[in-house]
Amino acid sequence: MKDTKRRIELYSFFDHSGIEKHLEKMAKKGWILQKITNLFWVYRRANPQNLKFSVSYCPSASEFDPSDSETKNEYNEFCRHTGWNYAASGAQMFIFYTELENPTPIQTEPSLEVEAIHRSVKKTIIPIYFILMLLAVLQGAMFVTNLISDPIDILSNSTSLFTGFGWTMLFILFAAELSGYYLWRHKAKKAAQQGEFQESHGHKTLYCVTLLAVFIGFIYWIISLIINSSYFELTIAVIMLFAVAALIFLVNGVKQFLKNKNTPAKVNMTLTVVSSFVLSFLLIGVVTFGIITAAKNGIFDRESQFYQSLYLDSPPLTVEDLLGNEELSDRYITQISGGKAVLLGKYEIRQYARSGDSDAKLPGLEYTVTVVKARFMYNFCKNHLIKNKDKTEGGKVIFADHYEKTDAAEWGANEAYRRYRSANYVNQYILCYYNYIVEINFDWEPTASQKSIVGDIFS
Amino acid sequence: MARIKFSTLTEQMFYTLLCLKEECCGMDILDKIPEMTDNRVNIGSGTLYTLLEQFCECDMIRETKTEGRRRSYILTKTGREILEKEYMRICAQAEDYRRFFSGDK
Repeated sequence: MKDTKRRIELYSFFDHSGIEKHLEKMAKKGWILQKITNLFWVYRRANPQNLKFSVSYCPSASEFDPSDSETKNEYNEFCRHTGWNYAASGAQMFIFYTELENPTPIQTEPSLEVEAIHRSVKKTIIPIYFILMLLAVLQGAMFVTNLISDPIDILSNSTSLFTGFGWTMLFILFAAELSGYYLWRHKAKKAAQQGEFQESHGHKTLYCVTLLAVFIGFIYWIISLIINSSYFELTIAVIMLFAVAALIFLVNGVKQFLKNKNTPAKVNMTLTVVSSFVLSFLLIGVVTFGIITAAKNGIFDRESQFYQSLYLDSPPLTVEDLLGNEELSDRYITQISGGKAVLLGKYEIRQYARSGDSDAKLPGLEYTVTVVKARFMYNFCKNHLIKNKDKTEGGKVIFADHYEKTDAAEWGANEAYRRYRSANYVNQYILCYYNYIVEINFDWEPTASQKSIVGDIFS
Repeated sequence: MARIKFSTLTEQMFYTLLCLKEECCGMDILDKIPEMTDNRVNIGSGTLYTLLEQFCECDMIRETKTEGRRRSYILTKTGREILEKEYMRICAQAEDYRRFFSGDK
């Protein structure tokens, strides 16, 4: 039978009432809080008992205090003197318990409790939450801007979707936490004027739902990376994940080592911040150097000349198909990039003659395939692609750049559009098939048979 | 600053300052207050810790010595003045009460 239990506890930083109730329930089940680490709360087994818990805040304490800190020891001694035993602490939060039926509470003056909590949380938690919220707003703004300017790119990229979704979720959480805290503080100050304490109510459900959603998003992102991404992208993502985990582990290790060595809090904080910067640069340097070295040694050349999507391991349409000459394939370089996400997929295919090829007249081919996985997105994607780009001045077109409808039947498509630019038609088409929209750019005027080849492939 | 922040003292503030007429440490105050008020007033350890920090910041008390984990304090001139002012306020309140109800006796 295990004598310790580790739990991830999702309590709001100011929810002392919620934490107290939870710890009292745990004690009834025979588990007493022993330690608070960065990730877990550690409980030790004991006889099930009715204990009273008290969460209090000591503004002069710090996350960087030495293990044997004077502040911590003095505060504990004060509380022990009135019958409260130390359970655990984290930064400015101290947790005590007692077996006494009617102990003198640790906090007996409501206004001082409100002030102690505020002075404690504004030292670290509030600035961190504001910074994270600001970052979330910036990330969110970038995501929305990109979504407006190039929705297909964003919606077909699982990394963009995950980061956009993750930051939005975190913004909701931080905003709820901060507004929840200030609401509680407002009520607690009012209650304190009447000499009463105000119970706190955190956002445990919101915390659980948000973090679960982010976790599911993360799993989706990892799976889609494994399924859809190139060997190169996947390797970078895995290395970066390990690098971030290593960075957190190392910085935390530095802080804990200095705490154990009884280093003064300010020195510890300075050294931890400096080490986090140095280690970040070092890790980025090592990772970049490793990737460059690996690329030079051809480790990422597994699939093709450049890099390629695993989902599309060969282009659906090639210049060789169109020109009817399979022997040309060795004379071309083919690049495929892109990926897919929940709603959309997008692949860009480029074929161009190898440099140094004797026949300079070999034509190139470029096309983008938008895979519409969700039917309701079809018209949205089509309209985005055929969007009018005419330049106008005073209502007059001064530079025409738009798509015009053309005969779809010869392309075997449902709809077809040809680009009209300046004063001419160019060999650029948008072809709408059942669940593909192909934007194709020829170096030459395609013949009727070449159009039908394209139709055969995509319809 | 001290005068504005502590323009009126709560019972717990009043008795803490009163205890510090003589040099004593935090734990002595935790025992003394219930003793001198016949258990009418109790002060929590966290509350006292915060109060001592704030009184020191406002120069109402000063630290005199540290013995191991015990820090001792004593009332300063500012602290004495604020305590005196509170005493006068309480006396004035008592006087008002007496005057108001004197005709009833």
